[in-house]
Amino acid sequence: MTEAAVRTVALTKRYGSLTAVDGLDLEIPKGSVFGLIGPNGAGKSTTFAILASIVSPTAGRAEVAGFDPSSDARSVRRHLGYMPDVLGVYDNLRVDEYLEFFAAAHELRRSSWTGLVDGLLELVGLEVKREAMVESLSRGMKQRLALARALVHDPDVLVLDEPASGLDPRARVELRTLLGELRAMGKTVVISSHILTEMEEMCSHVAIMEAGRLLASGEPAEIGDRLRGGHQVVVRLAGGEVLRYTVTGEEAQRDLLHRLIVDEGLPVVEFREEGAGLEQLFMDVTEGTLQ
Amino acid sequence: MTVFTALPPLNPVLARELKQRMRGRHVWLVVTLYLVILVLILRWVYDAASRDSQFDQFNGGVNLLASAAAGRAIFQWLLFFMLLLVCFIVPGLTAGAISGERERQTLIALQLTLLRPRSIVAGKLLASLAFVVLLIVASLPLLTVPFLVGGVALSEVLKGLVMVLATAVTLACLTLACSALLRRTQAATVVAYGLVLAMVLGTLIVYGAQQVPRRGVGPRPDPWILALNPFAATADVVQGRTQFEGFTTPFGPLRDLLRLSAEDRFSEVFAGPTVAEDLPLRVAPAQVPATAVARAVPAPATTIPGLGTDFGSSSSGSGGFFIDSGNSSVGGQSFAVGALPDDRARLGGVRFWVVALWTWLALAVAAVVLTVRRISLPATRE
Ligand SMILES: Nc1ncnc2c1ncn2[C@@H]1O[C@H](COP(=O)(O)OP(=O)(O)OP(=O)(O)O)[C@@H](O)[C@H]1O
Ligand SMILES: [Mg+2]
Repeated sequence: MTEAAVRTVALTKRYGSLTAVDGLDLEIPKGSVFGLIGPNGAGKSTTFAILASIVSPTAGRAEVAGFDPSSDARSVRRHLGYMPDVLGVYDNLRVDEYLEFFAAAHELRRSSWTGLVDGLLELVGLEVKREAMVESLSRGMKQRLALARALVHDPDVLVLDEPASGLDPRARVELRTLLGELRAMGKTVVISSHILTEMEEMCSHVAIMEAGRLLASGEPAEIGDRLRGGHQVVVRLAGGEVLRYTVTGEEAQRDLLHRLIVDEGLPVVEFREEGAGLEQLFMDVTEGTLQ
Repeated sequence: MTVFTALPPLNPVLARELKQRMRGRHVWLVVTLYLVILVLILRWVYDAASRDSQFDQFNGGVNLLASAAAGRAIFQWLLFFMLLLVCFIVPGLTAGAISGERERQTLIALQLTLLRPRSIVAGKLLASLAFVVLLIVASLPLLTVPFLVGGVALSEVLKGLVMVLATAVTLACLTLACSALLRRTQAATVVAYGLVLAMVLGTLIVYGAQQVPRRGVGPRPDPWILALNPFAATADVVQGRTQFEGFTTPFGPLRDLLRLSAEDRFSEVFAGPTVAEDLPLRVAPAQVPATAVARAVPAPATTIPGLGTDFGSSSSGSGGFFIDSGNSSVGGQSFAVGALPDDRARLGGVRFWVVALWTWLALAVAAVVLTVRRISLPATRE
């Protein structure tokens, strides 16, 4: 029970007649990188906003690091770093001043600011922009700065709404590394994204939601198997013959390959999974209806 | 360094806003422009005063009364324009305080820090007011001119500054509430300037409209509404009946308005024992001939005996409008001065400007409470 860094119980948020989040039950283990996947309007940002104590839920409850965002927002804020999907920056302010401002706003001692800013800028790779004006940064750099800002107060839980959008391929790889580092530091990272292949690589756990409801959750490999009773493996033989098998899990896959080659002596030319990726899973599970 | 660390930490929002605002190049432009305008006004009133034949320093003597009138005119015109500029500048400086952050999508990050909504509000208010205070401080040297010319008491100058500052604070609070309640800076700006217009002109129109059906008969309309008017309230702290002295001041008509209201409504106050009105004549040493210094002015810039604070005491109980308090002979000229009974406007026995200050305070507090509520998270309404 205590191992969940974030938990939601029957979390519901209605905007008038529209139900943005509909009885969502999530359990996000401590130290995981948790990906929330869903089509546009699924309610990902709304869920994050509730976790970050920005909006209060209509019904149900949430818990972040053991605190309820709607009743104990300040405690949640001490433990949560939130990066919204829209990036806002100030005019006439330098990058280091920007971070110092948030350090001050988080009641950190003035003497610690310089070291903190150095560390954060190095972490997100913005050292060279230390004295640049914030509004002059490129979109990707602003994104990195926003991430640094979310980390100013060394939170246990990070909620990042589409952190990878706007990043160049190299920065994405760096982001993945960074998330790994944060995870190694014992932090729990909750991210949302549309780029599913990446989520698959980055996340230890994923949840798929649509129209405010949770459709599936678990480890990326495992939920596919569970939902479809295994995934498709396509085997192409030397003669051009194509065989299809449904397997569950990596073990079964290895066994199958072993059996085909060693036991049956088939001339296997290609052995690949089909639609095992999150992308296919996502397409299978969601209906693509906008509400 | 040690001094800085010993100080309590500056409000982070204020510190950040000051950094940002001081970087905008227009700051110094506005300060310069403001001072140029004030200097021009000073010049203009001073010239007008110099043209007056009575105000002739090089004629062997100084007509202190005329000089005092000129000093008062200069002071009141300066005060008037300071007030006018505050009314123009403060809404513009404050309208974007919250809505601007909303528009730039920075508000949420700010709200998610450990800063309490009231600290955010305080920082925002102080940031807007810092600039106004800068302007007021910058204009202090100019205010010494009427002080040196004479006719203005220190208490009067201070009260005048308090009114300007109070106006600035009130307008900043009201504009901040507009900025928090409305989504767009543009809308907040329009509504804030609308409020200023309502306070400055609207109140006068309402006051005048009350008067129309009565046409001079019956009691005067209720001056309460004028307590919302920064100019009317400031008119009540300035002194001197300049209409008898050959100079017109912007506050003269407002004073008359208030006084007339007071006459009818609170005649018992008016007729009773009166509190003396300060009417000191301040004289710069250089302007006073030696005989006058020996006779009446012992030290640089002192209140001339007979025109001092207890000057009006001779009028106690007599209830008249003009009481001859005797003759003073200054600089070889002899003149009689009419002492004025306390004709200040009162509302329910309290001085009008005091009532105004309390009214503004109530408005400002209400505005701040609204603002704090609006920027508190989690938002219950969306
Ligand atoms: N403030 C609001 N008022 C009314 N409806 C809202 C509000 N915020 C979100 N919604 C609605 O709630 C639903 C969920 O929105 P949300 O932003 O959570 O989706 P999302 O999963 O983050 O989508 P995306 O992938 O496009 O970012 C949408 O239908 C949206 O229109
Ligand atoms: Mg979203």
